[in-house]
Amino acid sequence: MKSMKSIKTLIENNPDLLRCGSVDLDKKKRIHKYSRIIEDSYDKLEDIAGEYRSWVVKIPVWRPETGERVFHFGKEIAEEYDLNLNEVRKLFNEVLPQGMRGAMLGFFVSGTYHTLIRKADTLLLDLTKYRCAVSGLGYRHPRGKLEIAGNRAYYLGLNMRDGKILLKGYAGSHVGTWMGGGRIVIEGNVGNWVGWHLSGGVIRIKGNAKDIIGKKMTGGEIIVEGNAGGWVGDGMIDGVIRIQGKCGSWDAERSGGQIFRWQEGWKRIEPK
Amino acid sequence: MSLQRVMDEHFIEKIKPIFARARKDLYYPPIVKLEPAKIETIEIAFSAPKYKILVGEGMVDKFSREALLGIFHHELNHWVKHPYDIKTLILENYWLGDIAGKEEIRNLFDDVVVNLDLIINRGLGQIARAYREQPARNKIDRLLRAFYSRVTGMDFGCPRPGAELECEISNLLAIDFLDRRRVRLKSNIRRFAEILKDLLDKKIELQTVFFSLNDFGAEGIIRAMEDIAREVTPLVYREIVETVRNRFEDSWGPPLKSRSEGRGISPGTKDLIRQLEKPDVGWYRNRAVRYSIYIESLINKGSLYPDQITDFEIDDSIDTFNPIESYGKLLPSLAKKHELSEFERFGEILVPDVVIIIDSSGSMPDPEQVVSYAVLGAFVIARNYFELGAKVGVINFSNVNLELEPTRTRQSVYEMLKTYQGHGTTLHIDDLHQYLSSIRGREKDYILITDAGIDNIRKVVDYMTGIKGRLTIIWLKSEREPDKIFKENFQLFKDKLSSDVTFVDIAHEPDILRIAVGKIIREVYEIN
Repeated sequence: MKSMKSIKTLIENNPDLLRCGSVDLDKKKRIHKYSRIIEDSYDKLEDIAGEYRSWVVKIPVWRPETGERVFHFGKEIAEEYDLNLNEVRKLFNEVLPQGMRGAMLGFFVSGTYHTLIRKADTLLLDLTKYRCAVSGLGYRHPRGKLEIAGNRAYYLGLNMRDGKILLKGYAGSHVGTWMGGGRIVIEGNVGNWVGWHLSGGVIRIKGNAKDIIGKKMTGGEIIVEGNAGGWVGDGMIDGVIRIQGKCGSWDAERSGGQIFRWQEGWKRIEPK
Repeated sequence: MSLQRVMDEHFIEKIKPIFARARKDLYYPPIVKLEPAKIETIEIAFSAPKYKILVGEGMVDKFSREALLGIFHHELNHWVKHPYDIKTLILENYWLGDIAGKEEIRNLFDDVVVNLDLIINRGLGQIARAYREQPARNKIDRLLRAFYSRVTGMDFGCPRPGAELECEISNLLAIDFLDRRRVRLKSNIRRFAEILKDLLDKKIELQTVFFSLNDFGAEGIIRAMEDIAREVTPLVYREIVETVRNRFEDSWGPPLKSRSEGRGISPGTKDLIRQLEKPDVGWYRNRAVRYSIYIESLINKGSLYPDQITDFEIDDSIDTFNPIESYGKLLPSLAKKHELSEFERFGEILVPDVVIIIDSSGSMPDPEQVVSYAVLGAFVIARNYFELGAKVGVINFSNVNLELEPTRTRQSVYEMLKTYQGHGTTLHIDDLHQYLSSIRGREKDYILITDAGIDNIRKVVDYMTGIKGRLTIIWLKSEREPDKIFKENFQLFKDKLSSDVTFVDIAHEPDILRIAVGKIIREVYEIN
């Protein structure tokens, strides 16, 4: 009884004691008023685009080695801004095309989705909105599917490790360079240097390919459903190249690998 | 008691209750000491070991009680809320880049965050009174007062800022200053600077106290830089260090060459200069603090000692017979013997010195451009050996073998480990042999860190088979599929070297935790 009395006295002397701290109505009102007055114009993706623009101008020369740095920058940005795959899609398709020159952009985007993409995911990228070439899309692609529409992809699938890249359009040079696994399908023509140093995976070109195909490849398979230019299998060590249409010169003194041509069935071209 | 002392005590007595109220309003921040000072405002002395608040002697006459409370709220809230720590302050400076008047802009930005937090989040509006009791000094002051008034509905002493500032006010109203997540803070301060940069006069006077990195002690800055190193990449860290260095360079003079060449500056400042002089080394050193590795102690085994007394059997060796316990008789069921067992004891030294042989060829990542797990792993190993009192020697190989004899000078070891040659990969066996012969004496562990892309791999493997001491081979496996030749080379190490050698492969940063010296990883972590 004595303790009840002292509690009563305590509450009488301190009426605020029983106020529920979690419901501070005054504070709620102030914050509500604040958020009505402040028209926050922050846009995360615009901010990222700005970050990238100001960072990339510091890179003096375009070189594939620089791509690694740009790729890492993309990875850091994805972590710092807590990006998700949908935001990466929106960033590439809607935000970055505005006033952006694409030289290293592919490396950057590859970095942003690198850790986010899962095996069952598909990331749709629209290249038609870009007025210049975009290099490095699918750089070190680890898993999942990258579906790209447009004609301006260079260094597509560079160092790709797994998963799939589908390009609905024409590609520039260096498709699948240093690729070690996965599958690239090009629904169009490609430029020179397809599958340079390819060591695993499959590159299927539904259109024509220009010169230098599978140079120094040590594994994997390149299939050209259209015509191929010269220097097919130059310095080839291992792996398979199949040309369905016309074919220019090929390396007859290569140390290994197999080259097939379609002549009413696949015919192997033997080295000397 | 001197007159001055009496006046000070009188002054403190007058202002103490106001300060106590401010502390209570902000839930008792640990700034408890109040001191009169010959300054014009109220400020926290950050450079003192225990922060204290300094109060200008003219403040009591100049301001009302409520305004003083507002100023106390403001200053204490810099500690409680924003920037809160030196790290945020350094980052804010870095985010502002090379913009003119960035110190002033940062101070103004921090003031806006603090004032809005006081009024919106805490309902403490006394700061408005402090503004009202001072005249608006310049365009920026008028702009910010008008902005505060619009946001809070309170009078900040500038009812009509002028039509020419309307555009800036609307731009400020588009920034949510109370969102203090890292990315928002970065964006907000840059947008704030963009709005204010054209309004900056040649010399801007702030309403509240101006503080910069120079107001903090070296130890605090070192700790902040360590925190930053753990959060950013080596490249960004280098840029941040540059920003901090620029701030201090004038007061430091030319770089120090050695510890003995001090110029009368405090030891903490010397350490800070050193930390900032080699940002790349600093980044790896700070990052390495995150990890500890397993190093098996040196234990001597094999000697047999009497362990317990058991019954003597007829086929036991007579050497084990215990005549005392057997009462001198060799009789069945009465005779006893010493049971012998192996005894473990530590050797003369607990952990030997270590020689880290690190590959810095072109196939290894450049530690200045990207995070090199080889260098980071080497730093972790070196740090752990140093902390156990051992010396660390280094061979950094690429085109040539760069050598450092075992030493306890951490900085030399770290610098050698981080050196990137970036050429071919040959571990020159003759040089290696000469080096190892020259450092004979105390027992040593040997740790080879490589991606296994070594040109003279067979010679290296043959030489390693003859090494006496615990050998650990750390293979830096590429994040992507490793090169076939590199894979075969690593397999060659595994096939040719004895089973006592520990093999660890590292592909990601967390793999560094799997480094174990002197024991097979399976034994340590019981991996099946």
